[in-house]
Amino acid sequence: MKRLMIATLLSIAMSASHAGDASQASNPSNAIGDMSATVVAGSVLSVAVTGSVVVASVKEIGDDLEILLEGASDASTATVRLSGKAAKGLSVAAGTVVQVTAVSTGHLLVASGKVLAFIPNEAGKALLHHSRVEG
Amino acid sequence: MKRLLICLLFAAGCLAPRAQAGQTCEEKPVTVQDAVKALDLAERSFKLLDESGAQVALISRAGQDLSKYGLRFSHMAIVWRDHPEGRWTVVHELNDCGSANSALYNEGLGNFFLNDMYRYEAEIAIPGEAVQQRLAQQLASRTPVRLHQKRYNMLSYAFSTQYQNSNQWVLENYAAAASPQGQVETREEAQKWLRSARFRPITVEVNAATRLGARMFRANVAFDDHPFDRRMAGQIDTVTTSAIVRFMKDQDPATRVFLVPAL
Repeated sequence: MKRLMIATLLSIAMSASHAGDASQASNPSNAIGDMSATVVAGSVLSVAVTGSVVVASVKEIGDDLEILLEGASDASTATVRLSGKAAKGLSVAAGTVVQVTAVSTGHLLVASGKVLAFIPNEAGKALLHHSRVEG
Repeated sequence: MKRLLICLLFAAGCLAPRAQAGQTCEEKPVTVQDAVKALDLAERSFKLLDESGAQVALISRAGQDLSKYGLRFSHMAIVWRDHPEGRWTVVHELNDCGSANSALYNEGLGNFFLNDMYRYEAEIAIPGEAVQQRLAQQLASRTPVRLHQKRYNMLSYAFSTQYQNSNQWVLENYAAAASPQGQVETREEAQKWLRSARFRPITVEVNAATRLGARMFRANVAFDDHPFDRRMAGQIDTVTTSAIVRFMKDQDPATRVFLVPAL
């Protein structure tokens, strides 16, 4: 009986939530805007000719993470810097294969189907920023 | 036993958000497909806004499936061309995840859609020139902060200042811009003017058991701001994006509404 009550209340709570907007909840850590990365050396374009690159090394610089990417087919390299926020909880090690997906606003760095970082071009930079309004 | 039951109920409540379609409090990795769709929608919205010649618009997203309530979009924001942060910045109220509070945020259009959308489409409602001018002046002032109530309620009553949902914050800012100059400075004044201008909220039917469940499990849902008789009848009058767009069209024949479709 009690178990039934718990199940009923749970389903009730969930149905109530659908009457509102769960997308009004904010979880900024979920946003790719925090995953913006910058290229500090080399060019992702030339490294990613084949669409996939390999992580050659990972270096921690303060809170940030600097990842050296190597082209799969040649010796070209690019160094990508992720801010501490973007690097948080990221498990990237030397040898990880990273796909580079080009979109009109920049490049997505993808490992195992998940986005590691986004390198915005000029158009992309205009689409991504996030700040709290101080009241 | 009672204590155990409360603990179990509490645990069940904590699991509830994970089972729903909207955003949860969990950190979820972004999938490539979602990232590509969100950035593409952001770019198309940016382009439409640029080509419209507008300086301020109201933009809605489809964060979850509300079709059983006859609704297509769930959450609305103000988008402003000349924001100091850069071209086309979204200003909106967000419920701080898992809490009963909200805050105002400035974001890029990319961030706005990178939020676990139900459908990657947007609706953009552009007020007439005069209202846009007033909105732009307001956005550069303290008005948005003054009209913000941080006690958040997803189903807040449209004519109470006890709580506020995200769409209500947009509506009250619109009221300040669309009413005669100097008439709306506070939330009370905004709601007084909205009543006089015949703003019609959307009525959601929420029965007693559902209301009880929601109060027990969710920090961001409350019903005590609704008039007693309406509440007991399960009639919850709240502010949705569709109610705002309908009101804008009634108020201002110069209002233009565009759909940025899902591809």
